[in-house]
Amino acid sequence: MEEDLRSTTVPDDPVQRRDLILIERSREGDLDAFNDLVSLYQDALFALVVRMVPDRDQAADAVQEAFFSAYRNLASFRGGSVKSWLNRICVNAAMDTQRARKRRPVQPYPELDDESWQPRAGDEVDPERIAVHAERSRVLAAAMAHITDDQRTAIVLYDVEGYDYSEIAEMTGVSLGTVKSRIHRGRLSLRDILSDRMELFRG
Amino acid sequence: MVDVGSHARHDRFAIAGALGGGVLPSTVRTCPSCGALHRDLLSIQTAIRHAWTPRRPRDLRLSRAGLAERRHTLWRRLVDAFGSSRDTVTRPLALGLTSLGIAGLVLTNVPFGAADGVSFGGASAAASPEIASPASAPYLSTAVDGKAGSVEPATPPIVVISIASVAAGGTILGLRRVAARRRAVR
Repeated sequence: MEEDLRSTTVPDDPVQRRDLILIERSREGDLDAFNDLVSLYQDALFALVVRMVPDRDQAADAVQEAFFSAYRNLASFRGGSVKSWLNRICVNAAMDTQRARKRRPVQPYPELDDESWQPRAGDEVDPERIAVHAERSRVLAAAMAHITDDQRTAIVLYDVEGYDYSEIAEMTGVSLGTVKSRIHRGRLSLRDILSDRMELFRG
Repeated sequence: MVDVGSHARHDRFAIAGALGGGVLPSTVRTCPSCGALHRDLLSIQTAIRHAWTPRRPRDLRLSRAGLAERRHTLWRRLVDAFGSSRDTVTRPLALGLTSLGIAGLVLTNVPFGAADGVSFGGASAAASPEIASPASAPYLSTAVDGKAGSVEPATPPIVVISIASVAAGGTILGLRRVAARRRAVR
């Protein structure tokens, strides 16, 4: 029997409450309710996955595949944060895409121009600073594309998403020591790759 | 006194580890190169946290047609399970089965593809002229013609298990390949 999420867990957080209502309606077959969730989280999840999979179209495919997977497996949602649940599904989808890319390598960010970069809400408005930030993001993304998938995934999950070592170990199916090693080696590789451009990142 | 020349011997890995809460090596204070490395790693970490990402190229909302296309058949579910990022079992299992099978076959000295000339417990029939002829070694002949005097050899269980093990391992590896190809074209 389907568990009524509202009756068992009533979170104080209005965002979580809204998400749980949407999940419950989705479980009843309401695709529009699920698409409301997609609309709410697609940007954040795309931003996560595109850091792990440095190809916009493949990253979009991975996120959409993750949403399909989430919709099919709504029954496996056991409460808690919907965003965390979707995050984990997206990380799995991104790792699947990384494996597929190993067999069919493609050029990272092949077609991106200035307009393709998305400033975060509330970021600076000064045109000069915007230009510097865009250049920094582009150079950093290119460097990130040159470290290994495993290192990139671990760094993104740690630095951007804020997971701790043990959570990353559990998500990626490796030991704690391996996670630390990937992160530390990845950082050193990035510094070596960026050694000629470090002035862009200082200050 | 700072020995700049000794920087090559300093532990870069420990300096990188300090960003994740590890102990900051003393060389960061005493060696200018280690200090610069630490500052650069911090700058890169900050940049990663605040980096912009490319714009999402399309709307990712689901359509009923898309859902129908991806309807989960049992076969599809099975193939999807193989070789996904959640699957940490099938690859070592397949490699283990294949290795065990090959080891079993090597130990029993059965050449691959020897379907019609079975030999056990010694060199292969093809490699041993003195036992190559069924007449000279009737215990090796197979009962092809069913005549009296020919003996139906019983394949030892270890050979059967080894072949089954290789076949199972190969099948799992094949399924993983199919699943990977499906994901690649999706």
